[in-house]
Amino acid sequence: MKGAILVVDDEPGIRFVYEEYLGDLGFEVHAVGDGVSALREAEACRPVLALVDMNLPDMGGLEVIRRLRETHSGMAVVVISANPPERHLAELASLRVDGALEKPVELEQLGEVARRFAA
Amino acid sequence: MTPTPPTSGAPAGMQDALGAFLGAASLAEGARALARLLSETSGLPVALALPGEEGSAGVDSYGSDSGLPSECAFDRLARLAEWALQGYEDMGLLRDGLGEDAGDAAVAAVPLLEQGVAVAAVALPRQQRAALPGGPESLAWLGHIVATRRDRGRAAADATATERQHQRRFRTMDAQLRLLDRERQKFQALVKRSDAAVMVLGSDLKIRWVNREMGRIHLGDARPESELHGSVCCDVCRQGNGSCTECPVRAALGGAPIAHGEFKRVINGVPRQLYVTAQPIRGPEGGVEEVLVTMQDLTGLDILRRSEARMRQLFDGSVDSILMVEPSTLRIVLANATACRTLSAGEDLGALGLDALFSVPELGRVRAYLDALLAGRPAGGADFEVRAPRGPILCNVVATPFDLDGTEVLMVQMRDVTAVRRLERELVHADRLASLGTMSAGIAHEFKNRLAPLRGLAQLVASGAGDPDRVERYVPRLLEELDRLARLVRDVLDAARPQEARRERCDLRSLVLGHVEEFRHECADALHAQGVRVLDSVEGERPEVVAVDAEQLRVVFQNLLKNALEACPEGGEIRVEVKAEGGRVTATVADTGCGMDARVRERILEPFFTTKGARGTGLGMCIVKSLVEANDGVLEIHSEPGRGTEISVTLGEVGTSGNRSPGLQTSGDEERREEAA
Repeated sequence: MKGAILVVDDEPGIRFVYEEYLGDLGFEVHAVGDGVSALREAEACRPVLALVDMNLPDMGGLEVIRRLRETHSGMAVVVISANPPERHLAELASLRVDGALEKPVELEQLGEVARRFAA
Repeated sequence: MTPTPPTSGAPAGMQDALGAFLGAASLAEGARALARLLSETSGLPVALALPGEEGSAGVDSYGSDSGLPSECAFDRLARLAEWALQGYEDMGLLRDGLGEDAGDAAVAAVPLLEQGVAVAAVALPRQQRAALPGGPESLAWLGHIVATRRDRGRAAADATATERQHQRRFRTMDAQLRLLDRERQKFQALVKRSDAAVMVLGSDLKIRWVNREMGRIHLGDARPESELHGSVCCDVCRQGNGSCTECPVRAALGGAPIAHGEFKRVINGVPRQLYVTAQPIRGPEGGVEEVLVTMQDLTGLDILRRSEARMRQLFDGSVDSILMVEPSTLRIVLANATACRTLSAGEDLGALGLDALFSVPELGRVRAYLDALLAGRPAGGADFEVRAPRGPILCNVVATPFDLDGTEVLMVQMRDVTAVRRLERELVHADRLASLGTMSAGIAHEFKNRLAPLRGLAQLVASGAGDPDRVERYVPRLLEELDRLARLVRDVLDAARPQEARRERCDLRSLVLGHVEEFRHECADALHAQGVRVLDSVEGERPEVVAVDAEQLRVVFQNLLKNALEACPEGGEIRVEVKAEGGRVTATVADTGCGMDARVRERILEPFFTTKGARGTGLGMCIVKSLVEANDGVLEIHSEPGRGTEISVTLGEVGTSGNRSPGLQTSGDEERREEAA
C-alpha cells in the first residue's frame, strides 16, 4: 500500500494539479494551503512524505518543516519553492530535508519523488 | 621831587594863559588856547603842531604868517611832534637852536600823555621871545607846567592802573576760588552718590573720607560714613575674613604711581570678587600724604565673563560655520572659529565678505535666498556650493535674522554636507537597485507560482491523450489559471506605472458612498456568507468638493473594502466614514477583523507582500499607496491584532494644508495609546 502524501501550498491551482496527478499514480494525497492546516492534517493522516512550499501565508515553510520534524521523525520532506532552493541551503540542511524542487515542477519529476519516498 | 605848584611864580601876564591852558577840556584845546593867547598878546605868529588821529602832526598857525619858521623848520617841528608821539619824552622841554635852519626859532615840543597821546609844539623866532609876556623865562615855565601836568597825570594814571591791576587780580582770584568751590561741591556730591566706591586714607591707614558705596556695600559696614572716619581701613575691610596681601594700598603708600589688586571677600554672607585701585596723593613737599582708594565689584562681571566664555565656546565649537552678515553689503561682521577654519585660508573673513565665498551663478542663488528671507518668506535651508580654500564644498545654508547689538544682521549657518549628500546619493542609488532586486524577485516568484499549475494542468491534459473527461475537467481550470496570470500582469503594471491623476472636482462624500454601494452589491454573497455588515456615516450635509481622479479613487476604495472584508472571515463590521476638516476631507475604512501585528504593518505596502496566500498578489496596498500619492493624499494605517484595522485617506487642496506632505503614516497600538493619552 502506498503511503499518504501531504501537499502544503497556498496556490489552489498547484494543490489541484498535485492531487490529480499523484492521485492518478495511486497515492493518497492530502492538500492544504497553510502551515496550521498542515500540522493539523499531518496529525490526522500520518503522511510518509510532505511536499512543502517555502512561501506560506501564516508561517514560513521552514517553520512548518521544523514543527513536522518534531512530531513526525520518520516522514520524508521535500521542499518545493518558486525561489531557487540554494537560497535556503543552510536551513534546509539543518532540518535534514530530503529533497528540493524548483517550481514549476515537471510532473514526472514529482512522480519520481513520490515513488521514491512514499511507494 | 615835589613839583612846584603849576602857576605860582609864573611871570605876570602868563597867569591867564596858563590858567586857560590848564583849565581847558583837553590838552589839545589848551594848547590851541595857549597858542592863540601867545600870538595875540605878543602880536607874533605862533605855530602849533598837534598830532593828528593817524599819528602825523598837523600844524596850525596863529597871528600873521610873517616871521614863522621856514618850511624846513616846520617840517622839523612836525617831525619833532612825531618823535614825541613815538615816546621820546625827554625831548619834551624847551629846545633852542634846533638846527641851523631853525636857529632863530624856539621850539617847545611837549608830549602830553593823556587818553592816548597829544603833542603840543610851539615855535617862536628867537628875537621875538623877549616879547612874550613874562619874558623868555615864561617859555621855561610853560615847559615846566606842561611837564608837571604830564607827570601828575602819569602818576595818577599809574596809581589807577596799579589799583585796577590789583582789583583785576582779586576779581580773578575770587572767581577762581568760587569756581574751585563749585567744582569741589560737584565732585563731593558726585562721589557721595556714585555707585563707584571711593575712600581716602591717611598715611596712618586711617579713613579720612569714605562714600556710602564703599562703606556699606563694599566694606559691608552698616554704620553711617561719618562714623567710619578715623577707623583703620584693614579693620573695616577684613571683617574677620581675608588678608591684606592682595591689597594695593601699601604699594601706593610706598610711592607706586598707581596700584591694583583683585581679591575675594565674603560680605554679608555673599562671596564677592573685588577689584581695588590705590593712587597716592602727594603733599606740597612731594611726600605721599594720602591714598585715594577705589573699588569695583566684579562679582557680576565675573559671572558674565564665565558665561561669555561658555557662549563663545558654544559659538566657536559649533560644527557649523556661523557668520553674522550685514544684509545690504554682505559684509561679514562676525565669524566663529569653524568658519575661519573651514572657509578661509588664514585671511580675515570680515575683509572678504560673504560674496567671496560663492561663484557668480551660485551667488545669484544665495542672494535670491537671502532676499526671500528678508522679504519675510522663511525659506528653510538650502544647499549651495561654497568656494573653500581646500576646494569646493557643498554647504546646507540656513539664514535667520539676528539682532547683533541693536543692528539687524543675518545669522548664516553653513553645514558642510558634501559627504552626507554623496552618501545620500549612493543610498538612493543602492535603494533603487535593492527595490529593483526585490521587485524582480517578487515578480519572478509570482509568475513561477502561476506558471506551475498551468504547466501541470497542460501536462495532465496532454497525458490523457485526448480523453474527453480529462479535457473537460482540466481545461476550465487551465483557463481560470490563465486569467489569474493575466490579472497578475495587470497588477504588476498598475503598481509599477507612475500614476498620473486626471483630477476633477467632485464631491468626495457621494463618491465614497457610491463605492460603498457598489461594493455592497458586488460582494453581497460574501458579506452574507461571512456575516459582515457595512455601515457608512457621513458628517454634515454639505458636499465636500476636492479635486481627485475618481477612477483611481474607485480602485483605492474597492481595494480597501475588499481587504476589510477578507480581514473578517468570522464576521464583523466594516465602517466607512467621511469627514471634513480645514479644507481636507478624510475617508476612513475600518474593520473589526483580525488586524495586523507590527511585522505585517511594516511590510503591508511592500510589493508582493501578502497575508492572503494565493488569493492575493501582494500588490493591492502598493497600488493603493501610489494612487493616493498621485492624488496628493495621505494614507494612514492603524491596526491591532484581534481588534481590527483602520485605514484613512486624506485628500484636499495641498496648498492650504501646507504642513502635511503627501505620504504615509502607519501606527499601531503603541502610538494609538499615546494619541489617547
